[in-house]
Amino acid sequence: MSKFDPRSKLIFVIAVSSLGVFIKDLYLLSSVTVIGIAAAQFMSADLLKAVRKLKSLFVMILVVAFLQSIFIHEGRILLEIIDIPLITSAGLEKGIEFLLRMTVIITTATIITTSTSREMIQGLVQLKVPYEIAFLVSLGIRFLPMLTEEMKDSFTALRLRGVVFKNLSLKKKIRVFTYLFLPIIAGTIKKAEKIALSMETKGFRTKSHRTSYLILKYSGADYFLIAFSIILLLIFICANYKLN
Amino acid sequence: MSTIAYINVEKMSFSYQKSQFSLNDIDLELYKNEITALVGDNGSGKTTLGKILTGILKPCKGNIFINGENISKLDLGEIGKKVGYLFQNPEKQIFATSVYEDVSFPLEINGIEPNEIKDRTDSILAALEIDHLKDKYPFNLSHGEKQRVALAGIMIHKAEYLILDEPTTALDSERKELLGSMLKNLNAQGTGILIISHDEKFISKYCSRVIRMKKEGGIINE
Repeated sequence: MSKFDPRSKLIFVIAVSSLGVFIKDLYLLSSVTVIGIAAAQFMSADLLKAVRKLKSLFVMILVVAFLQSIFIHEGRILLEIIDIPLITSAGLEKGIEFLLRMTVIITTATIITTSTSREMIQGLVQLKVPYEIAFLVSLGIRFLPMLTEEMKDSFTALRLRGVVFKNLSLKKKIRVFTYLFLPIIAGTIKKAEKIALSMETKGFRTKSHRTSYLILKYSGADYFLIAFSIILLLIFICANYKLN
Repeated sequence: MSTIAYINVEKMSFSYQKSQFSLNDIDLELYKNEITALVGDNGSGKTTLGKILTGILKPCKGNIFINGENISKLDLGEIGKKVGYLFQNPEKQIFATSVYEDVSFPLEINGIEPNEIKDRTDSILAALEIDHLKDKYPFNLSHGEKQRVALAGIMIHKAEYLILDEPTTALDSERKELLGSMLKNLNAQGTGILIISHDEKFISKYCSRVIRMKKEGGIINE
């Protein structure tokens, strides 16, 4: 089921994540979240892997959602301590709203990962995005995990230099973190230089017109997905407009 | 051979999550009065073992003791003060914009007195013959010079044991001689050394003991 054209997937992801950002009504947002998760599941996106990878982000989202529910003092009081309203119905609603928005964006983004980077570049090129920019986007996505690894390695190497991080004052901790930037930036620049050099040696953009062995073609399912995305977008925008 | 091992590995096993490779039931004793070589084919787990000995990788089973202390209870920073680890790529261990600052900043972070920081940094830079580079930007140095800067960085805490991963790869024969005699001196002063290397000539000249890693994940003491 993952063999949709990357362009139709991209259109679906843009439509659903845009709804996730703009819709204000909680019930509509819940429906969009369900559609996003169902579509990701249908297109064989590895949701569990995404959840594992984004675990730290999810914790942050939950914290923000919890803070929103605490600091918005509107609506019915649900929890109070010594006459101080701690959680109100409006606050809880805002917290859930934030959680749903982030879930929509994260789950639909996993749909993109069901296409290979080559397919995605070709999809962008056939959508008339200049090849250089399409290639840069794909390269950037692949660079992120490398950057995370680089950060982990540098932090380990820094601690092995005899820095017991947990014993340091906040001022010294901040200073130690400034030392991490140099190897990470230097490493990243060197990697970028190497990639640029290997691209040059492989003749990247030596000819103005680039032909491609891989040519993407829309199937019936793709037309259905694009039409579904547009109809979904229109229905939810109208419903949101009417409810507000 | 001294009777008390500085690093003691007891029935240690390790495997990577997504790999067939594993180290099985390794028992190993490393002494401070020896320069030991860890040799073996590519992929036999030399670097992995080196990283386990310094707490970078955690074993699945068994225990590792440094000077009698179980390393599972020690922070990486505390291990780093006892056992210095030189990475294959020295750039991973360079953090500051001048050689002097790079070598000295861990002392400053640890609250050592400025006079002592200066004395210790100057003496280590002189011992490694990089004192003339102290104001230079470390990332612009040659690989061999970067390696010596990284070595100075791990030796600044007067670590009692050094683990060097492929320290001779980028050195010319003259620099190898310099490194070899420096390691001999350090060892004579009581610092134990484990060299992970393929450089048979260097090993036969400077190492008193050789440990060979087997492909199937064990070791042979020679």
